[in-house]
Amino acid sequence: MSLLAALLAELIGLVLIALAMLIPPALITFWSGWRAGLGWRGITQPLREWRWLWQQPRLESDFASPLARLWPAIALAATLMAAALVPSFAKNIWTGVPSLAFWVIGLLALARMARLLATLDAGQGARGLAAALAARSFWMVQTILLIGTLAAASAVGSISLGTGLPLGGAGLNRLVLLLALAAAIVGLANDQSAPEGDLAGPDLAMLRLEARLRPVILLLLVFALFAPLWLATANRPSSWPLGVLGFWLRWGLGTLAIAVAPRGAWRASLIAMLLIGLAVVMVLPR
Amino acid sequence: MVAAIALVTHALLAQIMVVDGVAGWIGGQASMLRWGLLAPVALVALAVLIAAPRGGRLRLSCITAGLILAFWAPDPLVTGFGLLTAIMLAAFCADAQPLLLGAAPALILEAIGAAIIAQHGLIASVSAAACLVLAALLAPLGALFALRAHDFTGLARGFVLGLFGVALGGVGLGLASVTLIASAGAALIAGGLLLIEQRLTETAGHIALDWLGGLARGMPELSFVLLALMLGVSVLPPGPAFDLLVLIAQALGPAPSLSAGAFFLGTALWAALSSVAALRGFALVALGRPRSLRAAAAEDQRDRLWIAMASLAAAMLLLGLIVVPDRLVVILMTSCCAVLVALLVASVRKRRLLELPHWTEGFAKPPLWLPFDDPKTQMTATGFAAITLGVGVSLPGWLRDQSNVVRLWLRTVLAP
Repeated sequence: MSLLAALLAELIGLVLIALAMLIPPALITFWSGWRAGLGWRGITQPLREWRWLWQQPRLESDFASPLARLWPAIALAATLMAAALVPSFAKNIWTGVPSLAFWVIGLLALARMARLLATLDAGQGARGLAAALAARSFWMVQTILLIGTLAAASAVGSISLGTGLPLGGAGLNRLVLLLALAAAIVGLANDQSAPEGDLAGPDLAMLRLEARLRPVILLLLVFALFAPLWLATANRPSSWPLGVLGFWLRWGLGTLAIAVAPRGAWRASLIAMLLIGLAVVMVLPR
Repeated sequence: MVAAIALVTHALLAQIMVVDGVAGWIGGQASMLRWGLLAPVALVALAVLIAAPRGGRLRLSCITAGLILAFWAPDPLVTGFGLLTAIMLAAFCADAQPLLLGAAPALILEAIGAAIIAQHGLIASVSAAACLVLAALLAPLGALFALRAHDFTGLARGFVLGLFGVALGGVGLGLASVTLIASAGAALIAGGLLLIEQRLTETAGHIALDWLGGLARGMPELSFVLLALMLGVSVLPPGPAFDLLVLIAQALGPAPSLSAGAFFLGTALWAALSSVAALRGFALVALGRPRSLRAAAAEDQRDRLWIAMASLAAAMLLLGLIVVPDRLVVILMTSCCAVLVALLVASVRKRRLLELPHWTEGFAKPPLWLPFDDPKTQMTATGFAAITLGVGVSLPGWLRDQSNVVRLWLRTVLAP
């Protein structure tokens, strides 16, 4: 029974992530379609665009390596695995893996690496420049997330995702978590995605899907680390409605925070997270 | 040769005189830590011996024997003497460089480990904290060096320094598994990268990262070896470096000590920087366009050197799969990921390819002697490192930029 519930929760979580991924572009196309007098047709536009792209012929650079066709598939597969692991609306979906946060961070890093390799594969100058900028963003976000995991583990007392705020603990712990959440949100707001390289058709479709999925997963990961509020328990279906509501609340608040976060402050967010990490090991009561 | 024989004789005599005969040498001094540190070094030594030319094997065998005996030295001073003599020998023997770079961290760790284990009380805790603080500095510094390296030797030195820092942190935390995995990773990456450098010196004519590129077309097998080594050293699942990160995080637990927390901060920086360094080390060497006609014409060779390189790369991949924590979950996840990749690749494999004239970014058509186009617009390794690290931004300028960002943000958010 508990296995069935966990599987169902997994499926619901993936559907919620897919919806969260589709809603912003759907709203934009709906709004522009509504203003152009197209009515409701714009809502399914992102899906139709993606399907159309998937059916198009491929494009391969003259200079592409034999590995070029692997990168988009690796990027998408790793991101889908991260989407399956991150607690979306319920925790304890994959019990018994205390290092889940590191797995999600690692899989997203693998996806990002594959994406950068796809960009650098053709050896073009402008793409290489954009890839270098994206690599800078990559290591900064990676450092922010890893140090944030330490801060959360120290404040909460566990590295498991979605463990919960230390409501009975000192107020300092909560302050640390909120500061870490703010620094991570600023870091995510400045996260630059690598360009898509010289690709077309299904390769491009895979990279676009990965690029849409990643911010949602990162947002869920950051909330699961620092503020795992309104999370249901996978083995208790009665708590699922609250979890679904909580998912939309967290996603909405996070998206809003990312939209208003300062742009260009990625170094500041990294330094802030380093200071928070130092404060955690120096100040927190032990 | 005389020095090598002197080294071996000295190490043997020291062992037999200080320890209780040969039996004591084999049984009494041997420990799991020593065996664990020695095993990857022995593998690298074997690979180097396989790859070495016929004339240099005796000399290499002597150096190998000296290094292995130095592992069983009765005290750190003898170990240090063995290491010093080996360094002097290797200075005159280019073929021994991979072995020496791979063995040095293990030897130093063995000496430090032996020195720390012998201490008790306050001295032991102070030395452990000192190890952690030193590790917190060395690990990101090594990754930074690897990210800014100009050639394969620099790349190998940077990765080895970073992994040595992590291994030292393992000594400080009392985690033998971390020390062993990091030391093994350092030995394998040093041996593998320096053997690749030997091959590229022969075939491509360059070892500088700025002069390489596009090797995956002509040398796909060497590129796979390089990819395996770089995946192993970058902190990506399921590589050994990723396993190190997870093991360290699991050992830290809630409310770590100041030195342990500082070490984790250093490890986080090491993880992020070494991933980008590995990306740079692979992408700008194997992908893109060749930068010289000789590099464009370079081809794979199936010889002893290739066997040595491939065995080290395979050992790196195996190390990641063997030592990983939560093995069942990892196998499940790796299988799911592999199935997904296979399905995705299979679904697009037969799709028609578009034929389009390539875009030269506004530059003139390349001369005929450059069959892979003019690579001068391509990103170089030096440029990539500079942009990735944000080099060239002055501190006052950066502070001014950041204050402007915050000011504009506040004006946008707080404006009525």
